[in-house]
Amino acid sequence: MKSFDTELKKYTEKTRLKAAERRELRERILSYMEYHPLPKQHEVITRDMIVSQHFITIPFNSLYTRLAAGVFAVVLIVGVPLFAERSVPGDALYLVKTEINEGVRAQLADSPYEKVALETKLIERRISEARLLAREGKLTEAVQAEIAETVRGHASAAQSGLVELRASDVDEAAIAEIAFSTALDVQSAVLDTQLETSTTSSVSVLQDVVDSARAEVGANKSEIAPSFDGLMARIEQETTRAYELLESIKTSATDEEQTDITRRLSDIERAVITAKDLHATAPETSGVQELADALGLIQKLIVFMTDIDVRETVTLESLVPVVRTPEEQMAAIQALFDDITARRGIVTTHLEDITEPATREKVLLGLESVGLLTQGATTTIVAAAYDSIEKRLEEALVLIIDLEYLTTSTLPVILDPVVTDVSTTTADGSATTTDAGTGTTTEEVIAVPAE
Amino acid sequence: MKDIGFLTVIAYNGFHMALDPKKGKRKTDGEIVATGHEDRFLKAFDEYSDALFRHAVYRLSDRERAIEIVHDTFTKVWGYIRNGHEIDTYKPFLYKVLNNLIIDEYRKRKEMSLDALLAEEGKDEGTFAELHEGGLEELTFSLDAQKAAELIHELPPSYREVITLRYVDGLGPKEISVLIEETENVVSVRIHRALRLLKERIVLKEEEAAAKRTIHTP
Repeated sequence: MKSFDTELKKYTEKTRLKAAERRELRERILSYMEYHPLPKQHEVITRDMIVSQHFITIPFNSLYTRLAAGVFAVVLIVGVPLFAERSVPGDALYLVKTEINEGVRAQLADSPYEKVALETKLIERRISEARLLAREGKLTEAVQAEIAETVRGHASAAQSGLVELRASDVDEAAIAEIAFSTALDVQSAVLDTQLETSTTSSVSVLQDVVDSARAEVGANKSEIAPSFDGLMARIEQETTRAYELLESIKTSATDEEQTDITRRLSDIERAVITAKDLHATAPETSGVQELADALGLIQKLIVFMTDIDVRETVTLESLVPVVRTPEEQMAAIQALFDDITARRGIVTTHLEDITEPATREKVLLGLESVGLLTQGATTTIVAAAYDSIEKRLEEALVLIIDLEYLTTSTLPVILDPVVTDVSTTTADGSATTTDAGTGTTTEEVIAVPAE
Repeated sequence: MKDIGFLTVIAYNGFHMALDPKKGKRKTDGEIVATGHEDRFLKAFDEYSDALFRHAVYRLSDRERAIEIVHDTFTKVWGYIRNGHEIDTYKPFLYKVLNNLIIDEYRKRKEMSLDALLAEEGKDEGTFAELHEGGLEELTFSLDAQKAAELIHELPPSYREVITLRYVDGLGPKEISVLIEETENVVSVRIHRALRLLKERIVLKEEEAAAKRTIHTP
């Protein structure tokens, strides 16, 4: 017989919720829970109760913690590569610069042209780093050798890229070649200046590497000329960029520098117009080399504007010399002629006081020689003859200065050699040549030109 | 997942898989139990709703009202959790809340107060000697369980309370004493008296039934 407890419990257990009642009650309670949710903070308490021997739980429940984590991530992703850009060999972040930053750039350079441009840029960066170290006296032989090796590697890669490019696109190859060659020219000029002025570290090894690379570029120069239109398009592109850069450096560059740059831009534009004219007369070949030279000059100008380090090291004149306009050249000729005429008057006046026959004869011969050198300078001449006339006038000036000295001084005078081959081009294009003989001293040089 | 407003980093440090903190916690013996408040609360509902309902039915003798009281019990417990309290063991806590609600219900019905009932039963809450006299086993041996169950609702509330807790819910005297905040001795004496009263009622019912049968017999 079962006990009273068991019997009673068994009997009362028959009293229970019906399935529908139970379902409805549960839904009501769930609904109540939904409308009365747990506060957020409460969940934190629950979280703290989680106990496990196998896990370490680190809660980040603070807004500030999350903000700090975000800032840290931004610094890591953006800040470090940015700071690394300023690093030089020996710095902690230098590997980030060369391996990550430049690695990403290399990955982004798809076409052979971009690869050559990148290698060119990397050469500039390495040399810039070396110069910076040299200025601070930190460029040891080992570091320089390491940088030189890297530059050699980049130069070699650029040459390989050029070879590849020549096979696929002649125009692009020519433009890349000009850019590469220009960059090497600029770096060579900068290293030259550094060698002359540096008192701390020498950059001679780097200079040798750059010169060697320049020679290699010259030796492997493409024999196929690029198209005139392709060069023209690139020149327009680079000229626009140069003007934009000029606008942007107005606050940092001096007035003198800005004037110099503007002057070079005008010279280049003039050279381009000349090239266009030449191309119009002979479309097959003429004008291409002139355009290529102009492109090289624009790129040098751009480097001068963009690289403040270059700007501080070399003069613009050494990179892009001024090209005078015909008017300027004519004015220079006129000034030379006026100077010679004035000095001639002085010599003629003093000649009357000279009694010694030998000296008198020499002066007379010299004056005759000057007369021949200046012959044609006063007549109307074509622009193409400016250079030769100016050269002759410069020689005549040297001679008349010597004669002036001879007539006004009693000391023996040594004269410079006299140019003996005198050519003049007149307005009608006809040329006359006179053999004037040769001489090296006063006694010998001041000779009457042979008829 | 609810917006819980924090981030947790779990560092793997052994052979165990990462644990979803919302679903449960791991005991040291490897067993996973529910720790999320919602999950634990609903688990308690599934486990105890029938027992609570049964208790309420025997205490209130009103099925519909019993459902409402059970509902109120769970909503009150949920409110307690929302206030940030922690419930380690649901069963005694649910019974405690249910019991309080039933007492409130009695008061609403303007029935006799417990104090009045106790006064009616005598201020003496009983002694150990009283328990020994007659013996509990001896008393229950002669009782018909079914008839007793049917007559529980006729007991005074304080007796109904202990009888329900003891025999319907199966709680021990110690658990009951904690629940109703009386000494274990008082609980035992009250159960004894309740059973004795039940026995008397059963005897009375049987006598009434016998009398009725005699009257109807030709």
